[in-house]
Amino acid sequence: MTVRLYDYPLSGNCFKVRQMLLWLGVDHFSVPVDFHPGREHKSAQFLEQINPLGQLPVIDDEGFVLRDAQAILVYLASRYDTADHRWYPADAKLRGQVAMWLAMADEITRTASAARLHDALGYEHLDIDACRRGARAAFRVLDDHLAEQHAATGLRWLAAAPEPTIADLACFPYVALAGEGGISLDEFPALRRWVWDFRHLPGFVGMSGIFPAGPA
Amino acid sequence: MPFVTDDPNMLDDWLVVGPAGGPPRTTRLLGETLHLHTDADGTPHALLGNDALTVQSRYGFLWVCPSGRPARPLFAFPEHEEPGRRLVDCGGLGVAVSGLRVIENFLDMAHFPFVHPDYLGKVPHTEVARYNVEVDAATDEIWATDCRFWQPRASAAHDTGSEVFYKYRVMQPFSAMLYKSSSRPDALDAIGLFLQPVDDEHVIAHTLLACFDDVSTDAELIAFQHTIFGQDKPILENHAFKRMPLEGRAETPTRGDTTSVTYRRWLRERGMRFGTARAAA
Amino acid sequence: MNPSAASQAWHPVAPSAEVRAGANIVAGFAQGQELALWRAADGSPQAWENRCPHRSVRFTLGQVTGGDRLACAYHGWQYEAGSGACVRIPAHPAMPAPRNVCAKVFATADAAGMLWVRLEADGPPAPEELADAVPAGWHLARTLTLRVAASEVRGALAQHGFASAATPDAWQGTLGESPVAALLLDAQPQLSFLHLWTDAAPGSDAMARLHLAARQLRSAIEAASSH
Repeated sequence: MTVRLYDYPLSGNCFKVRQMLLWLGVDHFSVPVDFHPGREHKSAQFLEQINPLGQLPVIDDEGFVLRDAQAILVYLASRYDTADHRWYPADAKLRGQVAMWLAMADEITRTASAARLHDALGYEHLDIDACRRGARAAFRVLDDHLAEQHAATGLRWLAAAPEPTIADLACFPYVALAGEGGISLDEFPALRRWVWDFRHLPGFVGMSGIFPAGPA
Repeated sequence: MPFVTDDPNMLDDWLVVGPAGGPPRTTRLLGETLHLHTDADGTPHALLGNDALTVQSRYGFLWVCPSGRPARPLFAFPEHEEPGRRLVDCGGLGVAVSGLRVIENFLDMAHFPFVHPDYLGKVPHTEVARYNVEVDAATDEIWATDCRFWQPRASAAHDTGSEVFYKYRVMQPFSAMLYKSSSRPDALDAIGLFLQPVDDEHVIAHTLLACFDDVSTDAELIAFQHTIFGQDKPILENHAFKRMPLEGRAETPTRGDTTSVTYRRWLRERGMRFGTARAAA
Repeated sequence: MNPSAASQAWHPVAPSAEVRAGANIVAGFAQGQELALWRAADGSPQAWENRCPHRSVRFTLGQVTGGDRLACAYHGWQYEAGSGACVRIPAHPAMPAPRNVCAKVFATADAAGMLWVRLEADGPPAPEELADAVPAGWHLARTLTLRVAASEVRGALAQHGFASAATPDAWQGTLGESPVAALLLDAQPQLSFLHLWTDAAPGSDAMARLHLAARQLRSAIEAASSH
């Protein structure tokens, strides 16, 4: 089985899928899409044949095609994390929490990722101040949750589980890249701690803009 | 009084404002918004309010001279017209730091194993061998030659590790070129970095490849360049102060920093003020 | 109890447990000064100006290496714990380390479960009353951050019934019925940290009510702020 991934190196959403495939040990290869400057993801051919929403990532798993980073994480974890079931746990409460934080990942994309597209790729037709305000509001919710949950239970990940889940992977990249959109993480100490913990997970490879942990 | 600086190094030189052609659009230069459009016959126009700025189309990009009195012609780029080369515009990427620091990073090899591991360098191959740096008296351009560095994977067209040979050239304070081993034994690939100065602490970095590669798609070549640039971005945007100090002792070079030492001296000697940090740091 | 002048010079930048030996580098802030906080493998705390002397890149992008060195992310220059002296430049592995290249090092102290930093080079040593800032046996509820100046937080804490205690910015009061020791950090001109310590047990209802009250306090202070 080999998964084809329509990919772009600076996309945090594509990073989520690349990292999940690596952690699950799934064979895969990337098909580079000229996201910038070519806007190939908005071309007629891409819209018709790959994703009518004109977005990355998209996977094609031996004919099974799926778009949307969070949906892809749910599929990959459900299909390939068959030994541990820790990336997408079956317990009802945990699964509910994971879904809740996957929705937060969409909010982070809407705000922090958009701010980064504005600053780095010149996307001008969005309200940059609203994006940054929205990102800070989302980050405060995350920081409060992580700080309070850790004090109460000693747990460090978004869902109330001892191991990270796809919820953490989904929320991680655009938090880690927030500075590139003009959003500082200075005021979120628990969130900064979570970013550090995630970067230091075994097998974390990072992406351009997020350093993996080097050898000590 | 338009523009955020009165530094003649900026006002009297040719500054890139983006790719040539395309639909009418706006862009930012030296703190101002410019309106760009191209006639059907290819003649470019750049307007600041109602004022037409001096503009030319060259190498696939538009270049504006803000004062209208260019001190010199635009630099030569013979590889651009050379048959057999692929020309790939890798797009403009915004970076929140003085462009002088972006150029300095482009000229630096010592960071390859740390910022671009498994691409342009790899620990423990960290040593920077001596190389040669000169300022060409005729053009006042900086040239660094005899540069070499061990790389596990030098570009999209290379699959194995090898010692790669580099030459670096600084044509303007905000424009540089690097030349590196290509798929042809007798020629070097050229990568141009042309920085559009939005203000003292922000640039749009335009990268143009002029390379020999019959194998890779444009998307693959661009993906590689963006991978590399994206790795530099958090470093560039996390300097404790964004402007480059040309005086004082806040920053200490080492022997392998010869190109950057020459670049900073070259900037000092031409009275560079834009994008620099003043006095005590 | 009158706080000594000595204690005013020391800033509670982070809970001690958050900066782990030979492991992480934490960004710290005190009166607008950016810091890189870390510990050598032997646990000795380090608070350095967050800036590599080579090209001024922040140390917080780097990593702790070899147990007692901090390596900069840009060119891998290594600086040793304690003195902050540069001990290795990977671009020239055979060259002896340059004697004049040094990270700027600030004095540190662990006391009352907190890591304290003194910004003045010739300031007073850590006074004993720092250890009284938090009662023995108490737990960290959380570090709260507020988008207002420390001076405004002081005024607000007084209004909410908190009393200043052992050190000038150690306040005692109640949140959600639990007693609280709130250590205030003047981080940046419009950013304050409030480290909240309590005797409420982790995971207890009292702790949960404290957390809610803390968020309510933050909302009240930020809403009342003129900025």
